[in-house]
Amino acid sequence: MRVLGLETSCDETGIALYDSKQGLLAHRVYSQIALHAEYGGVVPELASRDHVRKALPLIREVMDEAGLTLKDLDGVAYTSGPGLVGALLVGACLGRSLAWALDLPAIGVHHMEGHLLAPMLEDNPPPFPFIALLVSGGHTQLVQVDGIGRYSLLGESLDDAAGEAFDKAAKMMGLPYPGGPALSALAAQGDDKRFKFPRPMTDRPGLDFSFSGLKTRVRTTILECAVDGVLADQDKADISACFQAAVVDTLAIKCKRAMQQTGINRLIIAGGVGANKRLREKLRTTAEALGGAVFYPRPELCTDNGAMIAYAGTQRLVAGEQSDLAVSVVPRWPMTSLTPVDCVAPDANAESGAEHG
Amino acid sequence: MPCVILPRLFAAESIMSCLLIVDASSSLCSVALSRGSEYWSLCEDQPRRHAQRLLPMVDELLIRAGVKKAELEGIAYGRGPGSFTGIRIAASVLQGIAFALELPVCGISSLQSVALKTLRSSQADHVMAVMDAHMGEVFWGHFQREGELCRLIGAEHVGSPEQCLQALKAFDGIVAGDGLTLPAFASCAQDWADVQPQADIMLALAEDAWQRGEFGSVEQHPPVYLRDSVAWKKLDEQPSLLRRD
Repeated sequence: MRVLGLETSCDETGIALYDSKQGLLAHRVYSQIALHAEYGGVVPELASRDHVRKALPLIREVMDEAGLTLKDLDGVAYTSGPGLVGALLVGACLGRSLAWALDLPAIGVHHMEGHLLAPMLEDNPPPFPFIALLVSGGHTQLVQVDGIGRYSLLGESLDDAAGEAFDKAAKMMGLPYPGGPALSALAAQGDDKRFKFPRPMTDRPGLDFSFSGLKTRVRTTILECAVDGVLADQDKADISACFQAAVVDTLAIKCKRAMQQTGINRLIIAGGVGANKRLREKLRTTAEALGGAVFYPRPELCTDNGAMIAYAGTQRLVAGEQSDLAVSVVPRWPMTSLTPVDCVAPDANAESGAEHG
Repeated sequence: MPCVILPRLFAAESIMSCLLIVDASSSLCSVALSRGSEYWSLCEDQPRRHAQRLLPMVDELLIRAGVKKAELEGIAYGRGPGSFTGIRIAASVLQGIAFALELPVCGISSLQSVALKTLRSSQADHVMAVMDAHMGEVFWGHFQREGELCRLIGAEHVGSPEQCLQALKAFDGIVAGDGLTLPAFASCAQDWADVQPQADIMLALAEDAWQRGEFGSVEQHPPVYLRDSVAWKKLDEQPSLLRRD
């Protein structure tokens, strides 16, 4: 089955083509970072408007890249939540009407399920069950994955998502948008032991997270270090390093706890923060110390993309699931409400499709 | 929900065409379809449910009209101004269908739809279409009767009710549209306050655009929001912990 995937839940327009036998055939992502930079955050109305402009040209590009026409499609998948309603509606209405006009089945996909299954797009996908750490600007969750649609939420952030805390800390220091990657880059030049930042909620049992206190600590540290409203470059680098170390340590402590608690030693990292090198390294050593392994998608499939939606949609379409013509998008949608389906994997002997992204 | 299917004959000189039009620019959700001299339409009052209803209504209309997707020659939509989300729902549905069926597209003004509906029910030659733009503003446009249709005089605007009222001072004609329900327009006649954009009215405008060769690519017919500012502070207007250089 060959499925076109559309992702428009936030500030990235992602389009991809996935084949259940050949794997990922083509994918493109258009990032709206420049559009939102002057606001220092995603402006929902501008995001929605840009999806209307970019989605269709990207579909054309992906079809061309794969050397296929619409007649070669067997289904259409689109993100139907969670996310920004106005942004979600663009991809969902476009995807659903495209499928209607082509007389194809269509499926609305859970954005986080897409992230969670993104490592399955790589050559060495993890076998079930595994623990998934979903870390992005909108989510911080630990999920036990026993199969597709078989998810148990082990813990989540009670306030800010990890990526959100990164962005806010960066913004306080006046770093350029998007702040998370800018902060990480600066952290490489800093002393991560200069300030004592807390590892929130690690001194008590449980797998939930909280990052708002850490953000407050960054604020007070900035005010202590700043002279006449100016923060020295080394202070910025040191605060960045200490902040990143605190977030990474906190995530690692909880991941380790989740693996010990469940007896599952395979860990996957997904979501935009999953592209953070220090986090990847720390979780690799954490998993290996437990005799396990860590899996993550290539960085471009960590951030929002159409490939993960095409993949998750394919799994559900193959299982016979379909969304009807009434397009519904869901800003909040518990992943644990999804139904289980069997997993179909690409045929290792099948001819490879077009070049990957 | 009101649901209407009205076969109607167009003027005999019309060029035969098969056009679909979708509109979600107001609280109404409506679709209309023409094939040669016949036409069909559906209209429902569906505030905040346009995404759920638009495509099912398209599907139902084609089935009830006995028109196959492959017969369609062009697709149009209510391109605004109006509900930003509604315009995007219609634009996205249009894009999906147009791309799949390789159809040329056209955007139709929602203000012109309001004006044309008003002109069809009155003797007036001039209509000021005024739609509620929310956030304390209105969209407006001055239209003049032209044969069976109407044309825009000047430009379409977004602004405060006071700015619109200023424009109305020198205007001699009917004022129509839901913008009239705003308190600032209380002194205006409310007879045409319930006129909203509708696909069946837009169909006549789409037929005209078709005959003029104005259908084209999706890129040539983008949504028209009129309001391009967002109520969002730019970084340099936001509070800052540190001094800005």
